[in-house]
Amino acid sequence: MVMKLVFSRLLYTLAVLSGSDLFGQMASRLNESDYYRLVTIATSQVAGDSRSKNWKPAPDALTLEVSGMALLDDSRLAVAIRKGEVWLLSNVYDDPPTNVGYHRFACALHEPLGLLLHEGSLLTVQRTEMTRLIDHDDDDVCDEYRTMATGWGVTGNYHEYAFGPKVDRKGNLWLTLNLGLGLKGDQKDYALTNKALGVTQALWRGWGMMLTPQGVLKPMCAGMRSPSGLGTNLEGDMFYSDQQGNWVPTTSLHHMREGAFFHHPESLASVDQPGSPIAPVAEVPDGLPFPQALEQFPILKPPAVWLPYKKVGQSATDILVDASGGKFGPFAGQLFIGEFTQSSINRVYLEKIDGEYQGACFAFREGCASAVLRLAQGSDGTIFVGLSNRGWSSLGAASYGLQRLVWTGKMPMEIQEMRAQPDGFELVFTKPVDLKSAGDTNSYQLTSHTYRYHAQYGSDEILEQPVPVSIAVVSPDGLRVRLVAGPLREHFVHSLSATGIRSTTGEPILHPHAYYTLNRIPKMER
Amino acid sequence: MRANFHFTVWLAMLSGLVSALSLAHAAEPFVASYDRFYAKSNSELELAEAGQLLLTELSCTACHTADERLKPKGGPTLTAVSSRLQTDWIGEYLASPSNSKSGNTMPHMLHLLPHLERAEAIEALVAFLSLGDAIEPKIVASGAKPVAHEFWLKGIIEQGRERYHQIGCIACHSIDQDFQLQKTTLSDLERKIDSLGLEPDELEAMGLVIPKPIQPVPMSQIEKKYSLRSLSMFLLAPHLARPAGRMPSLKLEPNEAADIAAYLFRNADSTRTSITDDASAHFQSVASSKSADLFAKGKKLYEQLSCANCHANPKARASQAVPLAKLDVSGVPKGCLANAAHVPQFGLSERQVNALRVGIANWQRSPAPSSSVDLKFKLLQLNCYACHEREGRGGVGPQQWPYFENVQQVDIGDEGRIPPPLDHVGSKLKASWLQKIFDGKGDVRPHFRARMPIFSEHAKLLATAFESVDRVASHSSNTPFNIANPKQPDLVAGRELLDTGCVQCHTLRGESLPGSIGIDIADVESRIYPDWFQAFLLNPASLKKNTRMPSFFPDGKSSSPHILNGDVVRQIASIWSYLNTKDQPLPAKLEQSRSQYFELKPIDRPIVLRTFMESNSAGTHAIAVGFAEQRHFAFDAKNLHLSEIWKGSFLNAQGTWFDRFAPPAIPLGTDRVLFPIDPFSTRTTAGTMLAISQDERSFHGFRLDEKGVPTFRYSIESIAIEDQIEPHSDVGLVRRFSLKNSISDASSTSNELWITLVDDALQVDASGVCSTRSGLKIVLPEDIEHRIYETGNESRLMIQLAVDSDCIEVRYQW
Repeated sequence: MVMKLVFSRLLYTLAVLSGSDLFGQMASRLNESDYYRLVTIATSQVAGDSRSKNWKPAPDALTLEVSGMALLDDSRLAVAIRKGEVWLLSNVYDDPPTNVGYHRFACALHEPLGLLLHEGSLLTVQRTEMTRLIDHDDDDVCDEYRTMATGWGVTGNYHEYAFGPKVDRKGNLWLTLNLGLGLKGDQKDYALTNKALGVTQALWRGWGMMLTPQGVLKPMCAGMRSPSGLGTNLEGDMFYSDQQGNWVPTTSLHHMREGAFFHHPESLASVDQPGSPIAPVAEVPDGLPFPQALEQFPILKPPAVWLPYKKVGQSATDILVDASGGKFGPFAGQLFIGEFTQSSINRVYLEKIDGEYQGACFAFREGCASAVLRLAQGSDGTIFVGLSNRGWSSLGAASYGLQRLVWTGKMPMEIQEMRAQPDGFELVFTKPVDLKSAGDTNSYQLTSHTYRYHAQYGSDEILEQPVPVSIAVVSPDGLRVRLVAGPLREHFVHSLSATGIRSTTGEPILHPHAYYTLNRIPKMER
Repeated sequence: MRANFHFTVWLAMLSGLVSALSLAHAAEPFVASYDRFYAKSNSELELAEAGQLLLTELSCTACHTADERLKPKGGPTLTAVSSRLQTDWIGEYLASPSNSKSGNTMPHMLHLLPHLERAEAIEALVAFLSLGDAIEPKIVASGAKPVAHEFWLKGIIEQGRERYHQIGCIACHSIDQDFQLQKTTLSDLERKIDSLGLEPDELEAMGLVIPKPIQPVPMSQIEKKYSLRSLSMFLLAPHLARPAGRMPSLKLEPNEAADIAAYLFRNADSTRTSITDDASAHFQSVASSKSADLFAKGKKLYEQLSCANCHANPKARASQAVPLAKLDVSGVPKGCLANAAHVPQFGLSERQVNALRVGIANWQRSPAPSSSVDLKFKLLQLNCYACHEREGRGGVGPQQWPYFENVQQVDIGDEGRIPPPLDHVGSKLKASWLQKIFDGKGDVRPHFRARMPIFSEHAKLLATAFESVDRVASHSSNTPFNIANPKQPDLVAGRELLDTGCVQCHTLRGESLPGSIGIDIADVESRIYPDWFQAFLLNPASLKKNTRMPSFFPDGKSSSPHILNGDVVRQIASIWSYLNTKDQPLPAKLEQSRSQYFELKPIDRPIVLRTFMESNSAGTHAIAVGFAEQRHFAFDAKNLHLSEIWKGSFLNAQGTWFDRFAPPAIPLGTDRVLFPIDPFSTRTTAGTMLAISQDERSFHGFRLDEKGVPTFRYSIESIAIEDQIEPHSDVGLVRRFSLKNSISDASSTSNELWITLVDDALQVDASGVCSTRSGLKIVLPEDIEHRIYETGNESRLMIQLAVDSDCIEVRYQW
């Protein structure tokens, strides 16, 4: 056995030596900027030590740590910043943006982490409440800070961020509440303890909350860890993104709906509080592979999409649906997910199987100047990218700022969609593929893996196995490839690498890796 | 202008000289310290040192075993080497190491085989060396550590060029003439030389020593040897591939390693990315029995050629040569020294041969006692001298000098950018701290662009060696001043003394004055011995020549005679105590500097800050409001109560705005008065006072009037309340309530609403003024219903808030 292994390694090596095409793939994928160009509107002059207790802003006029954005009807951009202010920026579409105007609209907010234009005025969620910012005398300065919703627990722990609001198709306003991390001292006096589970958190921490148009604040779903992004798809269903950590094996995207529990048990400190839509549980399985955990723990709901660690970011933030109808390129209706640590943006394609969302994620654009915290789409389809990396670390030369991502009009060669089929997948491309490379099953490497559901920080990819592709059929227009592959496994992530595919003009795929979270295998060919 | 011109010309001449030298040296194996310090030496002693350095650095003693001091450097780990290095390159290298890499220290071994057998031998060796698990560092990403997918493909050449030239690579490796420094920084010495305005030969004639240029440590043809991935991985953890530690880690992040790899690959043909990570797909594709034979043949050759003597991995049988003690180096050079056919060929120069002979003979006469560590020898082996000067030897070379910058290019002299000299360092730094430095965990100069590399493998040995060599025998373990349990007056004095100078340059607990950059001196005792600290403060220049640290004790007298009676020893001890005691307030100048940026100072309009405050104040739902009149208050939006009032300065917003850990804001001013929590009660028609539950009250926010004064809006049961607080002349604050019942016909039957104003009331006098134990006076409106309830040691003043009142006005005077 040992000998066999040794030999196969040797043979592999020799294969590497002789297979000169292995040396032939220069990463032409590095030119994302040919398709999507970043325009810097403002970034910090220097990068501070983002984790330092003594963090100080760069000597800029305005510490533009963007924590919320809303496009106003007059084409100005309203920007919330983490120190607690809202600014109105004019001429933000100028290219180059040399004439941007800054006007302070509101202050006295406690770390607002969202901004929404709603019924003619701005809404934000700050640490302790959802607030409507009203300008009664139309002088572009807020004169009423109206409390719309409050009452969730706040212990004073730094990690108890509150994110939102975003509005769903029924007009409900959603917000998410970060767990506290390491409560200490008198912070615990403000928290609830579920003795059976041994968890302590303040009221509704780790929950998604919904404020109805009638003004009722309802706890809807639980199990969140660090839910720093919310957003809807085109249908108006509400999603949130979570970040890898204890009980969260890797970054993930979840469909928020009443009664769902996603992963982190500390949120269950509030499970028996009045209004909770989740029945109390006696224990939480720790250490099982996720598909098994789903069987043993009925309230647990899988994410719509896992974003494999490092491959598709390390810490997801905002969720933005491309509602431009094509003005932003070939991804209309898909979701863009901000990425903090890697200062980038990823992309998600969703489909509904048996009434539940699932889908695939792809890398989209890297190289932003700092951590991507917020995204907003302008009237021309371009995407404003709000940056701030304080408290963690990120790639990029700045600590904060605002950039705008512009489609150059050039069509990237990308896997536009990856769709589940009863016996494999269907790939949809943005440009016709070359029949020879795309029809060759060797051009596709498919594997599947899952994660461990456990109290530890993050999880390795476990139970990985190859999913050989047996047939690859290219559609007559060259835009679709039907892959027959197996065995498919439910609740496993199916990772595709299609580095060998070329377009009819010889272009490789800009981002040749796709990761499909196969919660359900469709029964019928679609 | 003229001076700068001269300097530039001089540098250019040096560079020319260096290139000429590189050619001349091409053949002989290159050992950095040997080349820099011994290439011209003639004295017997120096030749012996030089020879012994070559014995370890050329790994002569791997075959000719000697003692611990002459332990051979050894070669790289070769397990699965073809997963890291390109196979073509390995072949070329084995065929002729010195042709493949100029100045290479590995001897030519295949010349021991007949010419015709060499090609096959290379094939077999390459096969054998493909075995085993690839060595790669495990890169763990986290929220604090970004690791991009396939980060090695994402390096940026220009960023890599800059990093390469600024973090320290060029201390040993060659400078790229294409790299443009933003600004040329002259060393203090260069400034002096330039100020003379003389030509180099004139300078030499004057007896001024011009530092000799340093030869760069040669590199292989990187793009032929590595892949982007394997080079990035190597840069991240060089010790995995090269356990000898001669190439140290520079504490790179993955993206930094990728940048430098991209830069070193800048001339590569862009169609060759070399070895990919896509292994699994090609795993099973080749099978042949010939390969099994090759493997066996490779292993045989590996042992036959004594490869294992230097390359401990993969494991194989080592072979013996004549021990060093028994080598005959008299007479005509023999064996390796003669480039003989039956032994490894090193391509030694005549001078190197001579040095080796003297070094071996010298060692044979008097081998060093095995217990003592030869510190200087260790510094030579590890080439510490490339950056550090010690006892007049070494230090950053003249061509390299301008590339050592500080982060903000602030001129704080050479000590703000050049690695520090190591003279007496063992008498300054504790061995425990030195070990941390060598382990890569002792960085105190964040303003340096250059990084101190990691020498983990040698950390303990080096730390002990510095201590035993430098920490003089006469030193007693007694501290020069009494530092146990410092008394408060000394801590106060220490804090004051810091303001007399230290904070102008030094950082303390991360805080510094604007524009100043310097070592953070907090917790200095974890690093520095107190006796050195005392001596240094008394006379900095005596311990560190050319330091910009001034003496605050000229002629041994304090410049601040009013502090601690000018007692110098006690003053220094008080600084020491202050720096090493936790939770001390910052020096006043740093406090001031902080407040300049972050203290909220209401000027014309009030300032409102939502923040966390302490739980005895407005707590987690605090709204603090400051006024130009220097009367301020905090309102608790959760419990709907005025929590506290104070005078003077308002608040520092840094914690609220920018501190990751969101600490509570603490009032800066004076005369703080705190008020009881849960102020509202209802009084039933039967006369019982009832507390109001959380469900019966809600906060609706606030509205600013044209002056910017907030009016809080909240409701209790069905009663809507507006509550406004603002300064009243200059004696205090005035608070106005207005109440409205939202249920129009309920007023006749509903309970009364009462509010507690203070819980330390003394009495209400005839004019309606309530005095309190805290000294606060509350002026009540005429005819208001009020009572004082005494319970325990509380004495609560309560007033009735009559529903449908337009304005109930209460004044707070203090």
